[in-house]
Amino acid sequence: MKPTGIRMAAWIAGLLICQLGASAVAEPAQAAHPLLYVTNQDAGTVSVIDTGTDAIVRTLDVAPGPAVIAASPDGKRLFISHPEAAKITVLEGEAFGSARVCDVKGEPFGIAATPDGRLYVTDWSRDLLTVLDAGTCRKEAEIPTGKSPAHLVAPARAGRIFVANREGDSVSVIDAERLAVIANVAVGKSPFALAASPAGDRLYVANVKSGDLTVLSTSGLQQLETVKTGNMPYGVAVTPDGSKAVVANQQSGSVDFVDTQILEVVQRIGVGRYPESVAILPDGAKAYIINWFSGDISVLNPETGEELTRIDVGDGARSLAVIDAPEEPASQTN
Amino acid sequence: MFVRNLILGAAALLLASAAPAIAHGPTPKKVEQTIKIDAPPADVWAAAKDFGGMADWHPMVEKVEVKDGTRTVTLKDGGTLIDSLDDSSDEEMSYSYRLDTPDIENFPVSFYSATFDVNEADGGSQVEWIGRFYRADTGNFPSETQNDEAAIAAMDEFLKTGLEGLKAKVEGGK
Repeated sequence: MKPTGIRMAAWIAGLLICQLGASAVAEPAQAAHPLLYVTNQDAGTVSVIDTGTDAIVRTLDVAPGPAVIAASPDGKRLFISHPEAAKITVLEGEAFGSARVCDVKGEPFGIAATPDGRLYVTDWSRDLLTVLDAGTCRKEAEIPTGKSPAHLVAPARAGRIFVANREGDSVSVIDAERLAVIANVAVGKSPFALAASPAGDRLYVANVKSGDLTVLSTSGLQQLETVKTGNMPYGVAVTPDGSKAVVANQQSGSVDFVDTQILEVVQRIGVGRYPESVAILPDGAKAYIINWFSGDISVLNPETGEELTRIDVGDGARSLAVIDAPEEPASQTN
Repeated sequence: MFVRNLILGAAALLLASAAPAIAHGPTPKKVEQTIKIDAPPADVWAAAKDFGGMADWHPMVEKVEVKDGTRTVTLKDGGTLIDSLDDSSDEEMSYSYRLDTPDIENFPVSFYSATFDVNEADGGSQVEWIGRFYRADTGNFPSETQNDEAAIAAMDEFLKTGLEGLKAKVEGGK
């Protein structure tokens, strides 16, 4: 499903409508949609996608080789890792137009920000988690992890950081208060991505080589289940209501929907080639999956599994983050 | 395609200015090779489908031994690659596999996953062989023999030479 002339025409029409909406002050403002920010590792850019129209509305230039992107909990900052350049970009300000570049050591990869203003970054080559002040990039701590830490997650209310150790076959559990390792929990083979339930009580770890999803309790750290997925699961996200885990199977070119009640794959659909990162909108209406090889993004309805559209982003698209729409200012005329 | 062109244009500009500086980092790379073969897809698939049969048609392969879905590929120029089979479908005439054990001294890639796919095209066949891979040294300061360029060259050569060998074997065997 490549973009067609019809879709492009619809997109242009959408742009025109936006323009009209902006100038028609007397009309109630059209509800703004969340924006999707996509790193393009080859191009050194971030594509901005309006999730209302699913069209690219802007492209931001950043430092070379942007890999993982994550939003701050308040949605006011975006953080991007540049493993090859040993840098972190912080995008902030009006329309994220201001870029601050921080030098770090090693190969920064996975990145996550917490409400207390901390920024956590995995270091793929030095096997540790770096803790920074998100406002200043001042280093607060370096915490040892397992081998080749990849993605990480800070589940809500858990008070813990979880790091997937790609070559360590484990998850490092870190106390966010003391900044110390609590445990290293064995999972499947080659865990790369992980996601937490909205309540923060469960962790879903995608194991690339064993082709499964380890489900852990974030408090007791016991393994609740291992769910077989497609081949090489490289991305996972949980729907906002917590009912489904959405897993991108890179080698199979498919997406699995895991029912989190029964912990089984209840639906599998084909997407593009080498699907990787997954993000879901705050209202749960759409899931976005980057097809790395195809250079596009599949937009899925998480309820039905239907592919709604596909967005062309080009080679090297790697990671994505959602920024919820700002609250509409109160209308002055109505 | 206006937006795409804009992005590509911007990307080209950026690459042109920054290319020497961005040869580092664990960035996955892509390989894609295709070839047209003048034979029905079923015949091409029959010749290529055996996970352990690559030595019959791949000019760079000395021998292949298969055990429990894992193949040990011995290269003519030395070195062995151990692959494991992920999926194989007669219906789709396609199989997928990944590198289990690299041999970076002889084949400068630390990891790949790949898919081999036969399709009908213009009354004959089109074979597509694609992969995603990482260079031998995924640290930030790889040597010339273990960098992205070396990995890309190795993957391109292996897939391209293989497809040419398969074409020669199938078309020559008519």
